[in-house]
Amino acid sequence: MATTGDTIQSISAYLGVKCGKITYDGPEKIPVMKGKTGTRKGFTTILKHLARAAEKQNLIGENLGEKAVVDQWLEFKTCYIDRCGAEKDTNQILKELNTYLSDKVYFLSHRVSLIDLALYYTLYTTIKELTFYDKQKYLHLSRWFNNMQQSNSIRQSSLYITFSKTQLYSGSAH
Amino acid sequence: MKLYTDPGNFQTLKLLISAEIGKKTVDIQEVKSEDHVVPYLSSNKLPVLEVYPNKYLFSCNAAGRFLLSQDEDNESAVDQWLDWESACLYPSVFSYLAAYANSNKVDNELAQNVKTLLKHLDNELKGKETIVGDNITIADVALWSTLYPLWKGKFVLKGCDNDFQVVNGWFTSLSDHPAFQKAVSVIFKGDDSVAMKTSLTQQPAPLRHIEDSKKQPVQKQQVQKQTNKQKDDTVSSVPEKVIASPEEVSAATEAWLNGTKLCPTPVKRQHPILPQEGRRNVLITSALPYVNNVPHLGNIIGCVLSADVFSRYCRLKNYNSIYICGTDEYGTATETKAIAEGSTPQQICDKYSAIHRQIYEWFNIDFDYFGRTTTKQQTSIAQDIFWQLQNKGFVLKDSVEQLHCENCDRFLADRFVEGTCPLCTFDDARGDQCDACGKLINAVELINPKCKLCKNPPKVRSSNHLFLDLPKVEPKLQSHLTKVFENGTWTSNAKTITNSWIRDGLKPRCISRDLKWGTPVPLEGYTDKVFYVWFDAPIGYISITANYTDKWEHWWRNPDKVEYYNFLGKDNVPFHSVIFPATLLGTENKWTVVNHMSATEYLNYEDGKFSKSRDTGVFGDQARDTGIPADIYRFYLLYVRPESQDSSFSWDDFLLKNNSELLNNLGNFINRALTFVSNSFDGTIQTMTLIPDDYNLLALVNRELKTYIDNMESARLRDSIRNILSISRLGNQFMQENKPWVLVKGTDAEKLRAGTVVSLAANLACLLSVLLQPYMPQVSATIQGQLNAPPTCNVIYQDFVCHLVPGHKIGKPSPLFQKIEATTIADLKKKFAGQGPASTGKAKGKKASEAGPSVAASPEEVEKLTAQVAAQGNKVRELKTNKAEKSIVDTEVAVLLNLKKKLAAAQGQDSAPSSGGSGKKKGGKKPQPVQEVKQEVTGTASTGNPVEVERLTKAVDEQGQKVRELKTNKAEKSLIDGEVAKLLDLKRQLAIAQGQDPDAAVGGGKKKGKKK
Repeated sequence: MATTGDTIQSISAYLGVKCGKITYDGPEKIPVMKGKTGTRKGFTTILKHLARAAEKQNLIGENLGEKAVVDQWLEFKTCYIDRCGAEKDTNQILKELNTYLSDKVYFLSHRVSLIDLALYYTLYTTIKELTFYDKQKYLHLSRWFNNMQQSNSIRQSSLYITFSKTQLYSGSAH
Repeated sequence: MKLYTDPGNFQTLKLLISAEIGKKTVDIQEVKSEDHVVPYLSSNKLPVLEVYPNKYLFSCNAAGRFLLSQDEDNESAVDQWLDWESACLYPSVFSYLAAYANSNKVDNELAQNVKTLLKHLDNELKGKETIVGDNITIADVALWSTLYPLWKGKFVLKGCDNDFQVVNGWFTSLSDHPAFQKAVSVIFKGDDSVAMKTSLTQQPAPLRHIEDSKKQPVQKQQVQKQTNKQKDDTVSSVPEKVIASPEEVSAATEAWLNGTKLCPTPVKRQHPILPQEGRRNVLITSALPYVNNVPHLGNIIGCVLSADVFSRYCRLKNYNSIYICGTDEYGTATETKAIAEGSTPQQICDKYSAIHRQIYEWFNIDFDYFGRTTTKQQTSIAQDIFWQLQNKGFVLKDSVEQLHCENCDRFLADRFVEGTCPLCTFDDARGDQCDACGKLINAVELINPKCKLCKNPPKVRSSNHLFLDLPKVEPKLQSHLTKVFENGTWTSNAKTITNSWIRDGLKPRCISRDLKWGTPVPLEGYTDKVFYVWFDAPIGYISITANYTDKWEHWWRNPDKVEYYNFLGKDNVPFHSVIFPATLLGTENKWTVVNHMSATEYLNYEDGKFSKSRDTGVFGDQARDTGIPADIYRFYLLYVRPESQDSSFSWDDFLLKNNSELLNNLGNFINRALTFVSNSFDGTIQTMTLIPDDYNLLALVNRELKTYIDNMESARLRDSIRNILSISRLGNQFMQENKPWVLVKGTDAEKLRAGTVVSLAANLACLLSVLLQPYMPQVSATIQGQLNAPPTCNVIYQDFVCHLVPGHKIGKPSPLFQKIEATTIADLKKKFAGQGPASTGKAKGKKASEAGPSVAASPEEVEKLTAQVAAQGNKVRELKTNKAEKSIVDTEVAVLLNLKKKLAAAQGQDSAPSSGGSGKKKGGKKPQPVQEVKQEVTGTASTGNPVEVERLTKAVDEQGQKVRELKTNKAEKSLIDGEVAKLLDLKRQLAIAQGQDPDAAVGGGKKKGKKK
């Protein structure tokens, strides 16, 4: 799993704003960003600040309902995804995300939001290590991920992850 | 809005307070602490807000913020407090409370953690009424709610009101707020510590941060576990025991007991195969592979292998089938290849045709006849068909504007022009077809056409040509297609492509070309031309059959008795479904015209395309050198056959399929069954006394068998493999359930049962060997050798019958498949990765500019070469004006090109772009190659001259501005084009002045499009 710092760096590169070096604070390793306008602490805080600085407010939601969804999944990233140790838990989370995405193109409505960006970078290595079997098992998550990586500005320098369009394994999936 | 919560959950305070202040009505749904609410989450964490049906907010902070609906003055500060609350405070407080609730005593360490956090809050709150700004925000609500149980109730943290007086002041003042009071009364109805305890013990504890050191080993384990899981996968996917219907069971029983008598005996193949009365006569062709290249795995699965599987299946079904293929040898590509290799086209064809033949032999492609298109029969049949069309008036004459490359001095065949597709603006379209939209295009319609060889823009010249009058044939074609679409087997892509082609309107299609290497056009006045390969090539099927037997007309002039199957890649569909049928139908004679068409999509290699030039992917001849048997490749290619979508060849998957499906499933079953017969029963099939369970197995096997046949009949070759593997899984399951290795050591009755089990398993192995034959002919033969199976078993009958009768002696069993090691695959992956994805444009430009200064020759040298180029250029022009013999002109042109290359090298430029002098100008007047070169020399001389660079930069800017203005004002296109040409020219000069590759500079904005 990508470190929180790397994820923030990638997103700031995507947004075209500078975030400087990310340090970590306290036993909970809260990410800290020191900028001209002051120090910001916490994953959600930093990402939303960067999006505002880049004047891409729509990434953090255009109304209260959307904002709540963005907040919630960014919190989910910090409090669940980052904190699951065992493979079992990671699989559990992949399964949850997969189910959530089963009727969605993006996490929030019909456009890319901070959630998609945060989870794309966070999950990159995890998804990369998945076998074709697992990729098929997490079909919706794979579809979402594959969709995300089509954008060069999102994928940046990381390699394409191959997803097979053909169903390789019978049964089990869906 | 619905709020789901368990009683006594302190986190619900956040939502209730917010709803109260934000004046939102929430409908509280009381659930149990262990209830799941959010369908996609596995956790039972509460509370959850259902904003509207099926839209859930499971984060209390997010939900609270939503309900509170406040304009926050400083959103970022609120964000930060919520981050802290959710990541630090809440997990810490919850742990303390849950430990207290479980053990009824305070855990000092956990209490200390909470106190550290409270200390932080105490500092931050100094001098403030509320946490952020002057009003109550969600930050206050969230913190207050989480701290509530520390201040009130059974689990209070003693002394905190004293130790953290600032926090205490803030907490107490908020506690007086009516919204807070109301929320508390709803959740904790009096002092309901029991409910709170239940909630604390049953709600999931928030996860804590994991130290990096702890994380590392976990990840390693993860990798190991994954490989284990892959193994489990095949074992655990053994289907649950299924019970067949009584009808199925009785049919299976009947077939098992008496089926052998009904089962037909295989008909021996005797050449030449000719259609026979009373049998299903199947004519199978696979798209003719083009001769000038070595086929890659994608080409192989695309046509020859797919057709081979089908043809083998037809033989097993006792259809009277014939499989015809060969190499397609005419066309410009062969001519060019011959020039490149310095031999004649015929020599090239001989050489590559042999290579193709060897590759297909290695892949066990069992053609009835593999021929070639450069034969006498091809000429006579193609010309005959042409005369028939001509006599019926389906041939039109017209003069054609055709692209002619002056630099190469030839008319450019469609495939030798590249440019932007006029229909979809895909910028890498070929002259005959666009890879992006799949439409056929006319080379002259391409936007910005370029000669594929020298990249110069070709000029349009006119020439007289012959056309097939497709609009006139259309009614006949349409009625034929309607009929075969209905009755035949057509893959959906074949239908779609054909339909869209007809829907777009058929136009007369040119069938002659100004080339030498091809079937000569017999018509007076056109005898210096040859037939267009796509008119000619499908006729190859007929002429190759004519080479096989002189009674070829029995197959090809016999539409009533013969069914014709085409196997091909989707890119070839229109030629086979429109042009070739139209050609045959236009003759108004009886011809066998396509009835069924199976078109594959593309096979990718790993994450990219197969590419000969980049050495990416496995090519036919290389497959043999990997040491992996051809059958394994066949199996895998068919397993991933791109039937309805593009698929990819992946080495990891290849390994997985071999090791799990072949080795662990199929190989394991057959070997286990045969070893048992061999070791415990002296290699003899025992008397089989079947019990009801066994008949159930037979019925299930028959189910698979029937689907296998269905799939095969409609050419769904990929699906049938699944049926084979399912049968083998049923076999494994059968062995596992009956445990013959235990029975064989038991009582006499148990020994008899063991005999029945293994003999039935051996019969299943025999069935598998037959079903496997189309896919893996060698493995099938090996199994049959080990079974000593009677030749009569090689027929596919609708039911599973007993071919190995009691008393039959089997041969010596041995393992069928070998495990492929991950290291081997890693090596192969590396070996075939090639040079990776192309980044040519960029890399070239860079290389050229880097090479520039160091390689550049002295100015004298450059001057000398320039003079030579100029002289040679004049000479060539003179020769052309005087209409000198082509061969002489050619040699002089070659000399000129060579000089130009030298000059470019001397200037330190990439030789390719400057060898085509006329490529430098787009639009505008006819370019003057020699002047052009001179211009470049002056450019080079001023390399690094800052004044010159500055002047040009300015000029480029100004010109750019001008163009933009013109475009904004929607000026006439011709005007804009002229200005754009000037701009491009300036840019080039600038690039040269900066010592960069001029073409890279101009082409910079243009990205090479990706397929699809």
